Amino acid sequence: MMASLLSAHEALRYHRQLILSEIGEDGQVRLRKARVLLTGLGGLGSVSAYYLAAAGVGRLRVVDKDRVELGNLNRQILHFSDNLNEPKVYSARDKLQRLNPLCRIEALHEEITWDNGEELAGKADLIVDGADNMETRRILNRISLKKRIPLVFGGVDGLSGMTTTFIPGKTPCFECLFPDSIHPKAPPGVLGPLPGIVASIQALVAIKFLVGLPHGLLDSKMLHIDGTTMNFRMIELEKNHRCPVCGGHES
Amino acid sequence: MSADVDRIEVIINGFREKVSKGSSITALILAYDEMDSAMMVEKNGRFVYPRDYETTVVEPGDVLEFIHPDFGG
Repeated sequence: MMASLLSAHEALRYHRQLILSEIGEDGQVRLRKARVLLTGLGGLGSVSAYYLAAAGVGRLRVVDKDRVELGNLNRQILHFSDNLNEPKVYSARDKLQRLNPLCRIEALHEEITWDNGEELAGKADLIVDGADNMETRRILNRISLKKRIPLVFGGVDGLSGMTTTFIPGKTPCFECLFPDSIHPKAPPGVLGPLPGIVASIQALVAIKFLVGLPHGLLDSKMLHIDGTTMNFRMIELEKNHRCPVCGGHES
Repeated sequence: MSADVDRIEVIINGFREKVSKGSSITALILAYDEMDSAMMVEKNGRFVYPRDYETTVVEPGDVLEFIHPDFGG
């Protein structure tokens, strides 16, 4: 009998996903070896971080400059009332480490910028977007393209949300689709379950990517969710061969 | 002859609409007051780049969605 690649604790902790043929021991080991950069621990990042840690991603680097505010708590479910004024990254690290001590959480209380973005991405295998603004996403897009790290995008506004995966050389990039900077006048209204749905899908895609599943990664497809009508629509995306950022280049 | 012969039926944002034959996406954006620099247009399940709005003409039965993208988190 072959020795297990996982400890007895891991085998038990992850049993319900290990028995999936799509995951198995090999997939679980891949998750354990994976490094993920997650930017933003708000409505999206709270949920995606939780599922990634729970699933056994080995290293999760979380970056956010904000502190927990009372008005966050209707949707940012990683933060509790007794975390008010605490940096979100430390509040998140506490919960995530308690959830899964096997997951190494690196909490960086800073803003991701054009200057530090590449360094923050480090040797990440994947970037998961939990940002709340377009500028951060443009920075993530440039890091993704330069370092050839796939980027799992998610966004919400009111009762709608959308998600897609940008894979350098394979799919359009963020700025193919959204070349213009947008600065909203006020933060949008958000009902908690909406970012929960979007971020759950981001986490599912991220886990599938990290274990090496080739299909259903939302590459060149955008899932648009309308929480008013409950319509979930898939939109096919083609590269923008005139994109000044990625040029629509092949790999 | 009825003016209806110059109209075709399409679905815009989930509603059946009669629009002029040969309408471009640009014309429909103006007609439906959907001007927004970040707006996305989906036609029959495919994303349409803004550079193609002027030359993309709707056909009977086409399904169009004007989507205001979501950048909150």
